[in-house]
Amino acid sequence: MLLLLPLALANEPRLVVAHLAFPEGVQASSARVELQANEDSLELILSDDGRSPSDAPSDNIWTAQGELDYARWTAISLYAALPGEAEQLLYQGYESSDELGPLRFGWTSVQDPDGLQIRRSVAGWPGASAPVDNQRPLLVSFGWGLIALAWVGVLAALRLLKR
Amino acid sequence: MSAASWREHALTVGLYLLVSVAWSWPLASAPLGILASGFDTWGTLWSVHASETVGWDLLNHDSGWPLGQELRRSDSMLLLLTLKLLPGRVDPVGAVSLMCLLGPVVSALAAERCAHRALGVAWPWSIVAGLSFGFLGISSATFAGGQVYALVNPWLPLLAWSWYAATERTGTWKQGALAGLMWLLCLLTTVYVGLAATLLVLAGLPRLWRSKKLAAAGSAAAIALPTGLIYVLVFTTGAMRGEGSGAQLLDPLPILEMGSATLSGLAGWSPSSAGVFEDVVPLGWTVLALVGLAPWVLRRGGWRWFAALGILGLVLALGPTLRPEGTVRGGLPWIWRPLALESVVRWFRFPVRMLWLTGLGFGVVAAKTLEALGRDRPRLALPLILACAMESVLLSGRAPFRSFAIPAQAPSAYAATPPDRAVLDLFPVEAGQPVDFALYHVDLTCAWAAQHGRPIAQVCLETSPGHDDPRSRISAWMHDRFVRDPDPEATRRLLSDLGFGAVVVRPEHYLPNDRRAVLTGLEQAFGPPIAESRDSGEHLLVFEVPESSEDPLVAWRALLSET
Repeated sequence: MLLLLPLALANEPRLVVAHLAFPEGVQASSARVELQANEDSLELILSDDGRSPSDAPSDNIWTAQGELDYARWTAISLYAALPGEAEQLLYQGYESSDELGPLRFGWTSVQDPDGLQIRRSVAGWPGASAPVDNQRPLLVSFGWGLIALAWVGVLAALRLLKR
Repeated sequence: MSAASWREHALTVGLYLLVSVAWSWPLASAPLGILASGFDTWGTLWSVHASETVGWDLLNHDSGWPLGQELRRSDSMLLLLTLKLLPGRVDPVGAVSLMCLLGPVVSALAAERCAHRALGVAWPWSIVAGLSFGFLGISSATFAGGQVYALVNPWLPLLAWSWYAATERTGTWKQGALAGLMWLLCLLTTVYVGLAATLLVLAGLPRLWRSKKLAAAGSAAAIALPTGLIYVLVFTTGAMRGEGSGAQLLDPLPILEMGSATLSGLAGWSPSSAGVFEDVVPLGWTVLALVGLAPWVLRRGGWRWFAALGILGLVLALGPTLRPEGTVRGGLPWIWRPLALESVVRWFRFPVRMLWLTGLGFGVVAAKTLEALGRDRPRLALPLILACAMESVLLSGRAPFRSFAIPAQAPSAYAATPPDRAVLDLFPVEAGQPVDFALYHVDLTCAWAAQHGRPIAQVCLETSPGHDDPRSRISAWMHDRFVRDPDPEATRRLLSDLGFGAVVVRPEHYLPNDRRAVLTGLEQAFGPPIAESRDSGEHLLVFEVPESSEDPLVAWRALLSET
C-alpha cells in the first residue's frame, strides 16, 4: 500500500502556496496570482494580514494558498497594484510542477526606475529579499582560501618543528 | 573465503544499501511508479526502451519515424548493448530505479575493494572509499542530473586497482589485460567516464616507466587499443547535434563554465537552485579532512598516487574559470581556458565529470588515513564510518533533499492508439517559450514511447527543441495548414501515407485562438477524438488516422519537396 501512495497522490488536488515579497518602503494595495493546470484553474488573492495560514502579518511578504489539480506544468500570471495605481502584470510564464507534494511559488520584487521588477525566488520566505547575493561568493572564496592556507601553514610548521 | 570475510562483505553491502535507499529517497517508496532523479532521467527511460528496439546496425526504427534514428552517439553504449542482450522486455521505470538504487552500491563496493587490494586498507576502514566514490561528488550530481546509467560504474575503481597492480614491480600481464578491459567498460559506460579512465591510465605511466612491466602494458594495450579505435570510429561517424544546419554555438566559454565545478558546489552548497544538476558536487568534509591529514599520518607509499589522481580530477573539473558559484559571471582564468573553443565545446562540455577521479582517489586516501588513525582505537571504527555515511547523505550530498517524487506512468490515452502504427505527438513550439519547457515536451514524448511502445516521429537522442527532426517538420506543416490554409483531405492523406495511426494533442498548451484552430483542423481531418485522458498530470486527446498502403518514406520525400 505504501508503494502506491505516491501514485495515489498524483490524482489528488494539491496545496499551492504563493509568496510575493515587496522591497522595503514599497507598500502594495493588492496582489493576485492566476494559475492554470491543464483544465483546472485557480485565482489566489494574496494578502499580508495573517489571513493565510502560512502568512506572517505585516512583513511585506504577501501570501495566499489554495488547491489545484496535479499537472506537469502550471501557467502562471502574477498581478499587483501600488496605492493609487492600476493593477499591472508583473510576471507571466510556465512553471514546471511535476513533483508530487505541495507547490510553492515565490517571487521577489525590486523597485527600479521602470517600476516593479520581478524575480523568481525559491520561496519568498522572510529574508529572501535581503541583499546577500554579493557577499556569498566572497564568503565561499575566502572560506576555501582560508582552509587551503591553514592546511599549508600547519604542514609547513610541522616540517619546521621536525627539523 | 572465510566466514568472517563473508560477514564483512555482507555488512558492507548492507550498509551501502541502506545509504543508497536514504540517498535516493523517495525512490524506494515506489520504484515502479516514480522517478526521483533529475531531468535527464526521461531520456534514460527512452534509452532503456531503445536498447530493445535498436538493430545491430545501431539504427532505431521506433523514433524519428519514418526515417528512424541512428544511435552511434548514444551516451552509454554499455546500457544499450547490455539491455539488448537481455531476453524479454525490461520495464523502463523499474530499470532506471534499479540503476539508481543498486548502481551506487556496486560502484561503492568496487571502490572499497580497490582501497583494500591496492593499498591494503583493512575492513571496515575501507568502507569510506566506497562512500566517497559511490555517493559523494559527481555521483551525487549524476543522480540529481538523471544520467543514472553512469552510477553503475564499478569499472573505474577496478581499473585503478588493476592498473596500479600491473604497474608495480610484481605486475603481471593478466592484471594488464584486466586494466585494458576495465578501461573499455569505462568508455562504454559514458564517454566522460572513459576520459577520466584515460587520464587514470596516463597517470600510471610514470609508475610503468619505473617498473618496466612491458608485458602488463602490452596486454592492456592489446585489448584497449583496437576496441577503443572501433568505439571512436562508431562514435565520430554518428550524426551530431545541429550538424549540417550551419548553426553556430553562441559562446563556448559560458557553455564550458556551466559544465564546470564551482567552489560552493564542491563544498556541497548551492544557494542558486537545488535542481541544477551539476551545480552541487560535494567532496564531503569528512573525506576532505582525512585527505588533509594524510601527509602527517601516512608514510611513503601508494596513497600519493591516489591523492594525485584526486587532485588531477579536481583541477580539471574547475573548467575554464575558477568561480565561487554558478550564478557569478567571471572569475580567475583556469586550466581549460585555452580550450574554450567551439570545436572543443561541440565534443566536451562537462569538465566537472572529471571528478570521478577525485571521488575515487580521495576516497581511497581517506580510507587509508582513517585506518592509520583508528589502528590504535578500533572501537572508533563504527561511529566514525557511520558519521561519514550520515555526512555523505544528509549534510554534504543532501541528495534526498534535492530529489522529488515524479510520477512516471504514461497517460492512459496512449493505450487507445493503434498498436502497430506510429504516433504523432502534436504540441506547440512558441517563440519566447523557455527552452527547458520545450525540452520537457520532447523528453516526455520519448519517455511515454518507452511505455506505449509505438513508433514516434520525435528524434530522442539529440533532444534539442526545434531540431530538424520528422516531428518538428510534420507538426510545422500541420500547424501551418490549421491556421492559414485548412485542408482536411490533404492532412488526412499525409498522416495516413506517413504511416501514423494516431495524433495525440495537448490542448491546454496552445494559446486559446491557436487551440481552437488546431482542434477544429484535427476534427475536420480525422473526426472526433477516440480517447481522452486526464491522468499523469496531462490532458490528452487522441485522433485516429485511417490506414494507408503508401510507403511512408515516399510520403516523407513528398513532404520534404513540398516544404
